[in-house]
Amino acid sequence: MAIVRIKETTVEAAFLLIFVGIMLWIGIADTWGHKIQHPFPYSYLASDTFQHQTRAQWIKDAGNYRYEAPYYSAGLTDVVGFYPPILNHLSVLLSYSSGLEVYDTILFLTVLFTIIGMLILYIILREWNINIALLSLPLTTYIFTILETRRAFLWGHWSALLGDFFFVAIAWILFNFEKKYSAIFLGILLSATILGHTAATVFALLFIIVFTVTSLITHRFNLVHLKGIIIALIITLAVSAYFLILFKQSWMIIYPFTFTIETDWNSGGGLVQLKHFGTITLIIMALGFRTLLFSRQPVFNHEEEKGKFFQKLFVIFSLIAGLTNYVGFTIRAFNFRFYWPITLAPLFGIALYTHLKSFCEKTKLIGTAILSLLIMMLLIKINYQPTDAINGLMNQYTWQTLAWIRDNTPHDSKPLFFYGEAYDQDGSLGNTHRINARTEIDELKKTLEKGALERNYSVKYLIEAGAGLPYKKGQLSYGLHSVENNITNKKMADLCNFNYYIFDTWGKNPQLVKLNNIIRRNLTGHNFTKVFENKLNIVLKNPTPGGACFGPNNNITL
Amino acid sequence: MDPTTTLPSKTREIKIMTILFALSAVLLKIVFYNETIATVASTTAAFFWLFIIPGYFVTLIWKQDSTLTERFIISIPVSAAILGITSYYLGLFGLPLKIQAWILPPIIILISIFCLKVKKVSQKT
Repeated sequence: MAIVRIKETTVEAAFLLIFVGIMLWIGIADTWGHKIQHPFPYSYLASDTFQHQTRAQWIKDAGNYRYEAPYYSAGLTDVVGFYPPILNHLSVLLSYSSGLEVYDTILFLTVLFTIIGMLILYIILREWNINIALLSLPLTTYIFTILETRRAFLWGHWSALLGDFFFVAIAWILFNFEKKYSAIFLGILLSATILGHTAATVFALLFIIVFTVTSLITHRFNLVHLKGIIIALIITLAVSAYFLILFKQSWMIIYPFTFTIETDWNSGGGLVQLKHFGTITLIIMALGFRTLLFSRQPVFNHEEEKGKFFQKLFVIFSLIAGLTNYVGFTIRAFNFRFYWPITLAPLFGIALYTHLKSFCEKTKLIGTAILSLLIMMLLIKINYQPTDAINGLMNQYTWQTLAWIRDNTPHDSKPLFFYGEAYDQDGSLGNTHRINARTEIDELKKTLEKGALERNYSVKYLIEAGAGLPYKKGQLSYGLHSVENNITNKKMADLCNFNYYIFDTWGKNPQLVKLNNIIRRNLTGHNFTKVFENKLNIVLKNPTPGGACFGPNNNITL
Repeated sequence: MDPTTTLPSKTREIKIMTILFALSAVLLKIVFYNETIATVASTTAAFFWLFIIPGYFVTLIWKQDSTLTERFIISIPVSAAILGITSYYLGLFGLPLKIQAWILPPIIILISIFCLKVKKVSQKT
């Protein structure tokens, strides 16, 4: 028996290692060119990714998150750090410990934590039925194959994914609430949702309430357990009080919660829907749902009964939570749906186990493990599109230019970016560590139609004003710069009043590249000097900011 | 599976964790085959340093009623939560993250060991 047990442990360990390897492969390794370290932010496909990266880099440079960086806060030096901080801090700690850049560690951690989230679900199910646990894991591959969830990683919904990760960990704690000191761990993990992605706390709290009430009604919980829940909530409040006070006086003012029904999320990359699992998988999941709810199979032990009860609650809650956009929870429900391939995975495992029970029993663990791997590979073969390495929005030349500006220009200098493919999703420009502005593609196209570029022109500044740019008024009170001082990121500016001008020399729009060249030649004719050049960019320096840089009519005819 | 009938010693668990570390590094090298061995090794070591070793010692409190597999996996969110929260507040109080990366994990480990010893002593008395 001891030898059989050891072998089963080895089989399980081997299976989990292979599973993690497969998930890493499809989750990040392919898009990263099977490298961990990159010369610039890699596979970043939207501005939000750079927003997180520049903020994490600022925290690394500053050594703390007391304040936001002035260069993405309209030059203000007193804006308190307002974004949920955990992911950024962990990325910086991993950067220091590993030697990797923050732009690599932050995405790497997001993917790795998601894979760990799958393993947490596994250990919850394992206590109930190890075969169901093994057979549930193939469904989790969908998190890297459904386009909308894949975008969550490449478009920067990283905080939402972290919040979902801690939600699954909270589920494990509740499932094991009879363990010693669980209340303390629940309090810590709930605090982590507040400081990781505050929206996730709502779903976590709702699940705690539903679980507690149901457990009390079914006599699984007694007053001791209820006391534990209350202790957990007290710990959560104590640990997160500082951030919650800031959150209430910043985010909740700029984005007051209103019950709004949302049925679309184009700006977020689309929303996960049940149909994305495909018809056959959905049928299997539906069979699993029917078995979970209506099976009259006898239950033989406490673990089985406990497992069945918990899974009913967990799966039904996860399904309903993801659909709460229809009752007013707005896009936060869509954040929760990112983890549907994980939280609904038990339905898949239950259905397969119900129909393959005799196979699992005859072949023991190794048979089920191999079957699970085969199903996984089949789902990946059908759903996964292998890619070559995806650079994303950044490239080595733009990165080199941003670094040059950061390392070679005075701290108070003002760069202005003209047309460039990388600049429309402008979060990346924060890497100059300067208060920078850019021209927008739509405005440049209108300029082409007009046939003349005016000196007074609409530009967009990079200002990360998500929470209203809060500053300390008193010990626990905050004002909001963006509200009190009407700070906006789009304004009319004197095009001759910047210090450095950056032009891309090629791009997808040849007309705009031509416009770049015309402007550049004009500026060169006004004694602007070329101070940096590479295969993509030219940087000109303005000798007299505010002086003449346009013709006598203050425009450039095109 | 009843963990209490096959209770491995701490020494054996540490041996298993060491093997898991080596296997993780090998796995990472296979998956990220274009990466250098040095980077793979330092990434694996850093991940264990921050997210597994501190969490392992914290979750030793559950050694009697959880398997090593369970504690290994749950140690990661526990470590992440404790590290993330303490790092944020210590940063606000002025301890730079550069120093935190090296001192926080051993502090968490020492506090966990201390709490376990106190619990053991109180159980004996």
